[in-house]
Amino acid sequence: MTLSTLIKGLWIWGVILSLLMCYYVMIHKQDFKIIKNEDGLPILDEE
Amino acid sequence: MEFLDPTICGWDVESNWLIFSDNVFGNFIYYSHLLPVLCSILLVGTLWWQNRYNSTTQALMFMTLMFTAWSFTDLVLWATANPVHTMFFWSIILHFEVLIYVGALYFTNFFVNKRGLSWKQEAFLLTLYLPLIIFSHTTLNLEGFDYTNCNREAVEGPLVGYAYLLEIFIALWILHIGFRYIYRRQNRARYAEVLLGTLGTALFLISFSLGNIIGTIGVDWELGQYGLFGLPLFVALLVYLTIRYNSLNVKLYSAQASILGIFVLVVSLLFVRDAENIRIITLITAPVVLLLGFLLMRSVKREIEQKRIAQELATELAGANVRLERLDKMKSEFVSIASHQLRSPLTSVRGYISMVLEGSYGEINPKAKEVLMHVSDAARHMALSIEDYLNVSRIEAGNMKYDISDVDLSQLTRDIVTEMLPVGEKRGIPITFETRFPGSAVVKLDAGKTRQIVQNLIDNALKYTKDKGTVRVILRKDEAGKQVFIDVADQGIGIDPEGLKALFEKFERAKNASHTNVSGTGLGLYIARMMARAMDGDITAASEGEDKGSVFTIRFPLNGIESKWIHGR
Repeated sequence: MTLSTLIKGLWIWGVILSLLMCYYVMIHKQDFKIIKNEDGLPILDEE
Repeated sequence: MEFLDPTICGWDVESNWLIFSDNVFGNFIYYSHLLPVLCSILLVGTLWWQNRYNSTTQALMFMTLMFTAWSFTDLVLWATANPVHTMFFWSIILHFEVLIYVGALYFTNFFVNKRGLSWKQEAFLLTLYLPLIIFSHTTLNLEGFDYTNCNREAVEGPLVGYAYLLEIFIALWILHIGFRYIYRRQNRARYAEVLLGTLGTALFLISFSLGNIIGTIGVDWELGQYGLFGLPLFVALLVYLTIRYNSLNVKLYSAQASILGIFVLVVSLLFVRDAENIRIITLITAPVVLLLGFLLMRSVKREIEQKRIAQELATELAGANVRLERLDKMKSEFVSIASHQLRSPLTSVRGYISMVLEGSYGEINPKAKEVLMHVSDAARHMALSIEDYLNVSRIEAGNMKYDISDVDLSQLTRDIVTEMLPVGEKRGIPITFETRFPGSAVVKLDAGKTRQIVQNLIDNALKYTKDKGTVRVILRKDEAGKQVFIDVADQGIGIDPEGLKALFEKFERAKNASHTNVSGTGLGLYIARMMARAMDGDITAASEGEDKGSVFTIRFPLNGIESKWIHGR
């Protein structure tokens, strides 16, 4: 195995791990901040 | 987690396949995302089908896959009403975006430099990419989901800015690869190829990032979608360049891709029902169909033209082949005539003259004897000339046979000099032999051919030396003991620098050679050099100028084996 192959392998696994982490945090844990207005309601588009 | 009721904003909560919902404000978005993806997959897929082991094709395929992933993710962001989906897909889209740039960098490097990135460059790039791997799930990437209005947006953090910087850096790297090639290398034949490849990649990236650029400077996210339509065109350009400059199968490929392209464009129009949209889309589609149709027609036209040319060439070639065979036969016949019809009678002429001169047919008067001596000399010259022509003919036909064996060059040269001494004495020119090492040199050579070469050089030296000169034959080796040299030095008419250059060409003689009343075919040195070269040696000539004598040096390799030198006492 060459160094180049090793780096590419690390890269691919890094990206896969990162995607899994995003899935875990955003979908599974739903651990993100909700930014709301003071009344908690969105400002509706007048149209 | 508690979310607000999405119906407050009037969002469509039902989406099919994550990407089909009423939240996408027009078919235009599907058209701008799915059509480029389909076209790119068709173009690159066909290329992949035929040339999957080509590195440039692999890089293009990677770019297409990342672009497909990006398009799907972007469509989900347009379609979904679910904040969880928005956050997840928004957080991962950075990867696909930057990886498209990374793929483009690999493509350019393969295309321009014909090799991949070095492991150091890859390690450097991975280090720059590392923050995206580590932080894309954190608030550094997305700070949260924004409910303050009804835009279904995530709030981006500093990591997004970093990713944009990384994209700019890679884009500059790509341009650097192309322009460095043009400024540094001397291969002008590849300038157009390199320039087109680099600019094609740059245009592809600009077209892709147009939405982000326009969106980031706050104009309109929708406007940037038009850039995506440019993608199939630039993908087509990159695919074309890959085929054109990697000698891949062009005709079949371009015909297939054009037909598929037209089919996809026409069929996709069926899915657009809004009259306003169809006008815009037709405006974009029409030139693409026209271009693909033109490419298809050109491909067919070229095919027909090439077939016609190939047929003409085949006919011509068959005729030329017949003519060549006839010429070859004529040449063989000529050589046969030269060797048998000319040489054989000449041999008997010389034989009979010799017998007459020796008195085998009775006494002849001195006047007749003198005339016969001239006839004998002329016949000998003629025989030598015929031998020269035959040798040239054999050398050029590759028919010269070499009988290689271990030859003691020291003894051989000494013998030749001894044999030539009477010829020198006859002309009043002494020949000396000097050897600059003790013992004898054994070299793998054809003894007969080597004798012919050395004799030829000594004979030339005698011919072109004035009355009171000397011919010196020196045998020596180089300091490393890898080569053996025979120098034949004379004090004759010398050769000017111009003459030296052409001396070993066929039918070439030194300019002042004709002043010396010496006859010659101009083939002797040519034959000698060709023979020496056939035995891994060579002959060179040196002279300080006219009337300053000349030195001819024969060189043969000792195969680098010192033990080949058999040292004497």
